[in-house]
Amino acid sequence: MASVSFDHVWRRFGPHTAVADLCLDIADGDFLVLLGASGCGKTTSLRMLAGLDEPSEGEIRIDGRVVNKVPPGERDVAMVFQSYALFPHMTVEGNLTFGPRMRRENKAATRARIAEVAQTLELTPLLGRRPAELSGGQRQRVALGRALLREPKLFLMDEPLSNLDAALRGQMRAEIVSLHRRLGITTAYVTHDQVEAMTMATRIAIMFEGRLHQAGKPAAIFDDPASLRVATFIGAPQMNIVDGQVLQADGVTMLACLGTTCRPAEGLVLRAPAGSPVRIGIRPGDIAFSPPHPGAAGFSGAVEFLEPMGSETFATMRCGRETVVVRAPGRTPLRLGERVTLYLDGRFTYAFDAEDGRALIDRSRFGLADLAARRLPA
Amino acid sequence: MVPRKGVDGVGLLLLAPAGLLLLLLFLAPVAFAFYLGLTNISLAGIHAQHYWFTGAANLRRLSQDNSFWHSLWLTAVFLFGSAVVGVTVVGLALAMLMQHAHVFWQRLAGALAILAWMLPPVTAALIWYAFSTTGGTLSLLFGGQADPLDDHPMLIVILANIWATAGFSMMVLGGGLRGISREVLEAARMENASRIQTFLFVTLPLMRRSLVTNLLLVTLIILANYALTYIMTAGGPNDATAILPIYAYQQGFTFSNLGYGALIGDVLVLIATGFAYLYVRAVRQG
Amino acid sequence: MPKTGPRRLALALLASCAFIATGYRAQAQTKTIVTLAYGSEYVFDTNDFAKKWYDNVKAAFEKKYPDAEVKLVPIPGGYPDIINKLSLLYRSRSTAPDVAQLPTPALGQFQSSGWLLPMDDQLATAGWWKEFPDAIKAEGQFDGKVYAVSTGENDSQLYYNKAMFKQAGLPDDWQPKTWDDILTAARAIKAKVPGVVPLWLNVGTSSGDNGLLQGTGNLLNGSSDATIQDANGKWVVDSKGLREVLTFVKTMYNEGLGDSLSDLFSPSAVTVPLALFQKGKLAIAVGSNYYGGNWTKTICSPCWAEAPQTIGVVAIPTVQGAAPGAATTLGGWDLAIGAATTHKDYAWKLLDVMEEQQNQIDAANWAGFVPAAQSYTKAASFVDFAPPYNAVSAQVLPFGKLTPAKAEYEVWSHALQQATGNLAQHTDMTVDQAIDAMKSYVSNQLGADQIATR
Repeated sequence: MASVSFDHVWRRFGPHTAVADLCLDIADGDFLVLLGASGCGKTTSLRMLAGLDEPSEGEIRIDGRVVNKVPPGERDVAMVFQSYALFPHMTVEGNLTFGPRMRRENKAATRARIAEVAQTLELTPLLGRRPAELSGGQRQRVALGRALLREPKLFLMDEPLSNLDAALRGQMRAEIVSLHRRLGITTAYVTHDQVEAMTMATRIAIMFEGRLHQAGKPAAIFDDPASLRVATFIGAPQMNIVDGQVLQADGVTMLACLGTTCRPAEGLVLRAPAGSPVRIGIRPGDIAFSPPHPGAAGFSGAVEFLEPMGSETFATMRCGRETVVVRAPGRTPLRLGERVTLYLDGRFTYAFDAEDGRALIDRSRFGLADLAARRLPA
Repeated sequence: MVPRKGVDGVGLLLLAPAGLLLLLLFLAPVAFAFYLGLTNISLAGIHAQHYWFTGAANLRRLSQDNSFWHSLWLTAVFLFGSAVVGVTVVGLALAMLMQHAHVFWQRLAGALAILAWMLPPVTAALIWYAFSTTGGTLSLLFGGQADPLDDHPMLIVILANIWATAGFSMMVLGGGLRGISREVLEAARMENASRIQTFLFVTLPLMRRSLVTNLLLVTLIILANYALTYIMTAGGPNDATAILPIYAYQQGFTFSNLGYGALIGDVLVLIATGFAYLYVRAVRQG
Repeated sequence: MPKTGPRRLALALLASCAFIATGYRAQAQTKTIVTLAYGSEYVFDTNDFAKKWYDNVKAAFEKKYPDAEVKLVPIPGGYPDIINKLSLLYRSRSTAPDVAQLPTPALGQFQSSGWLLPMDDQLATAGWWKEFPDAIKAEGQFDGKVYAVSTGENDSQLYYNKAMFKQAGLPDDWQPKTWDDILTAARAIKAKVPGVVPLWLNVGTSSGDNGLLQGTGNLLNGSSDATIQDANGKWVVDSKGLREVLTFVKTMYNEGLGDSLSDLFSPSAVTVPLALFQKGKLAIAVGSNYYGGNWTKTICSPCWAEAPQTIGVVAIPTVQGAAPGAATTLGGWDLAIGAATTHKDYAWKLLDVMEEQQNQIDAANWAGFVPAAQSYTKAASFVDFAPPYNAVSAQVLPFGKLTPAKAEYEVWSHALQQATGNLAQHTDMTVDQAIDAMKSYVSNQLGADQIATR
């Protein structure tokens, strides 16, 4: 079991900076997901942790020990690669034996452990096959097995599910999570898929262009995105972003957008002067078809496009110059072209700086349940 | 349109001219060369025009010809040295250097190796001749009076062939190396494999096909490129580098025994065909 | 001297196109066309000289015989190219040349192919023929008939650097009487004149039979027994003469009197002494007659007009000084009339024009030959072209001996080249071993029943 710490880590490739000033701690037993679009530096960070790459500046520590110069084999970490990186010329058994052979481990003990791991991952009937004769899911399990066999104190996984089809991906997600729960091994997991991040992580670290933007529990990141970019990256469909303004009337601070206004929930502090232009964010599920409280001001939208997903329908609504996506029930009565009145919910309306996208409402003191329970102001 | 399988009569008829041409242009000359190999045709002299089939006479002569067997042995040494040991090892080393070295060295090494490969054999031969005889750079390394080309002719000729063909080899093997996933090599590193272990247990086995393909291609190229050797040594000194193509030329054009020379050429064709067959098989197996 | 080069090749091609064009025009006027095939790049010192000489011949002939026209068929490339091309031309009656220039060693093969016409009747009337030394008359003679006549010979002599001789305490009008005299002089040079090659003698296989003719072949002809092919037609692989030659080679290279292997085994070995002499790096050479001509301003290959002041020349002695006291190989080019010719009168007339004094002397001077007719060799235009060298080469010409005009000769020649090359390279090799190797090589190539020991 291990804790990890990135301490002002930089990685530059010539003029290009892949990772900039990364400060990140992974607690013992955490399942940390490094989330971000491709090229954001998440894989580079993972490779530096694995020892396949070296920081240009800063320190990486595993259990307090600086590992910058420690070769990968001596870090007691195991890695699962995106392509699985199985040795194509060896059988499954050969792939599993490779590491112990290189480490000159006791052969009998290795055989016993391979049998055990193969049992766990249902690889036993496949031991004699070569990677080319396996399905994607089977290869994935061999790669996992190779990592497990090592009994490392740190698991590293680089987009391990991205080559699987959707059904298998869901199944493997669950398997990996349960494996993590069972073994409790600290895991760093890289993905661009926010669903994986939300469902698997105990903590998420979101990176853009080499910089860490936000790290925290999945719910915290979803409910309290630190920036417009984090807000739009997490959640599907994306959070709606529209132009708005801060209004001050009768000593009450309001947000105006979509031809209507709403008040942030009580206790939320809006850090923007009146009159300043802001970007307002509303998740599709937070727009209501009925007033959240009596007398709530609505706004009108025309149904432009419907995406029925079965259990829910996403409706693209035209509201003046803006377009917003709204989540409607699966069997929605909405028809194309139909005009409906929609309502904002002051608890779940976000405001971001129009210039730098920083979140203007401090929600750090409230969790999701907190907010949901809070009564709305009249 | 779904393409129909099989060939009907009309199709065969339409293909006939092409087939006939192939037969005439390719098979006929080869067949004729094999026929000539069993005749007493000479370059000039009474058998220049009036030559005839002499049955197994040339074959009998071949089997008892010490010079031929010596030449065959020299050819084996030459091919083994230049293709197996030289080009494969040097080509692989170059290809790996190209992968890991600084871009500047990569480009320089690549450009030089390819330049050496593109040079016409005459130029390559003259460069190597000047390089390896008394007063040449190589000779100066051994004190200036040394004469590597004449003291170790086969070695120098092999080195020249390696020099001239390593660029090609580097490109073929470089392709093979690039085909190995970086992650697989990294996985080996993660599993505590040293560089040498990674090379032996991962890189080499994964390069098997490239290595075989390259070896066979290079063998064929070097067999065909005997001009390099001929210009450097003309088979000498004292027939120390008289490999089969040179011995065939000597018999045909110096000793005027065109028929016998053709037979030696036929042996060469058979050897090359053997290598080509192995090559095609290796490529098919994938 | 062989010369190649793309520019020259292009010129030659252009020239040949021009001549072919002329030939077509002539046909329209129904003149008799006489075709003349020759090596256009190898035989003469430069391609320009070759062109000039054949243009002169053509003009002279056409002036003398206005109803006939010469169609020149130049053959580019080196020695093997000429042989190969001529063989191809002769194979078809339509392309067989009326007159062709052929190398002496290949005459036997061409004659035995039935491609050449005997010309004894015409020769009986030719004044120049009577002046040919017997050995040279014999070179085109087969079964008692003459099929080809010399159009220039190469023979060999000894060249030596008089300044170095002086420095070594040797006479500057050197007159070696035996081979030992040569070795003694070379030893003196080695002792007294550092940094030079004492003695050049071509050995090894790199120059083929050409190297043998300009090197050890001369010694064999001056040995106690110069027989190459005995009376039964067998090839001599062991004789007193061969052993004398090989002993000389072994002594010379064992004592470090010869040049480096790099020079000896170079593809252009035969031209090495020319350059070494000019650079003052060589004391004595067994060399061909053309050296003197090459140094003249006219030929300039390499240019060294002052050579006569430094480089002396003398005949190669026989092994023990026996009569005639001089030895040389003969090698050269001949003219022959094609058996397929449809107008042998004109072919003969063309050949006769080519054999005229000025043409023969021009050919000799421009290609580095000695003319065969004795009066030509004494003509001032020949002797004074490269004095004193031409006078000596003319003087030794009658003592020359021919090599057998048989295809198998090349095998024997290759074996002797190997033997001399091996002795020069491997100083621990004995003469017996060299003879054994030669014996086994020739017997392997030609059959055990084809070799003879004398």
